[in-house]
Amino acid sequence: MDIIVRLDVMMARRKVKGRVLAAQIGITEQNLSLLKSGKVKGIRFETLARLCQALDCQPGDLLEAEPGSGTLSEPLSGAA
Amino acid sequence: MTHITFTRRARLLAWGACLILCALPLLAAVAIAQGAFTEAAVRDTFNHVTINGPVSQAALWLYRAEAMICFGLVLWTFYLLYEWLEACGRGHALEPHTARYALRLGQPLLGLAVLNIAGQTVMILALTYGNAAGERSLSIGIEGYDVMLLLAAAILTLFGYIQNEAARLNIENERFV
Repeated sequence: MDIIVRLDVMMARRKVKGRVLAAQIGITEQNLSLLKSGKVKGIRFETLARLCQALDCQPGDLLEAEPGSGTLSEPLSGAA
Repeated sequence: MTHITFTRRARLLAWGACLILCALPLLAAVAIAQGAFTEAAVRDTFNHVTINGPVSQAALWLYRAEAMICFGLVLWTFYLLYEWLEACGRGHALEPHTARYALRLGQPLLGLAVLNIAGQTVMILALTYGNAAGERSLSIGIEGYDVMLLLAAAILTLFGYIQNEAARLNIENERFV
């Protein structure tokens, strides 16, 4: 299962520029760009929390799970 | 220890290593000028060995060759030490190329220890080869100095592996936003 970053969608909805957002949450514009393109190894909870605060959204609005390579054949029992 | 303190101390130590690196050839030149490679010096170094007759030219040149190789290894050690400390002083302590210097530092020390042990054996054999039958010697000895060199080589190599792992983790950490 792949994690897709929808940060660009949320930024467009909130009409926030990358430079402004990066300064607001305390990361470099380059790292924000890497995050938008999904080329980062991971995201810290602190950064995710700041993004949600700055964009007034939930983590689920920024991150989406999609079936991809290496998915389980079926969900574990008890999962919705 | 703050990052600035660490880099400052690393730069100071790098300067120290550089000074030693520059001084060693001068000291070697002085030692050679004062007869470090003469027959008398060889007899003095191996005063515990019975040498009948003059020291052969082959033994003399073997002694000189061993000394020059050891000197080269010492120079290489200080060069690697300088490069390692210089990289740490520039703030590149947790980068793979810096860790490689630490990894390689153990190699010349290991070489020095092995050369010292083997060199002593070969030299004693060469010096006593001209003796009468029954008076030739073959001895293998490991001194405290050799053990310390081996220990230092092992510790530095291990430290190099640890620093390499730290560099890998640092790269991985930087990929977290």
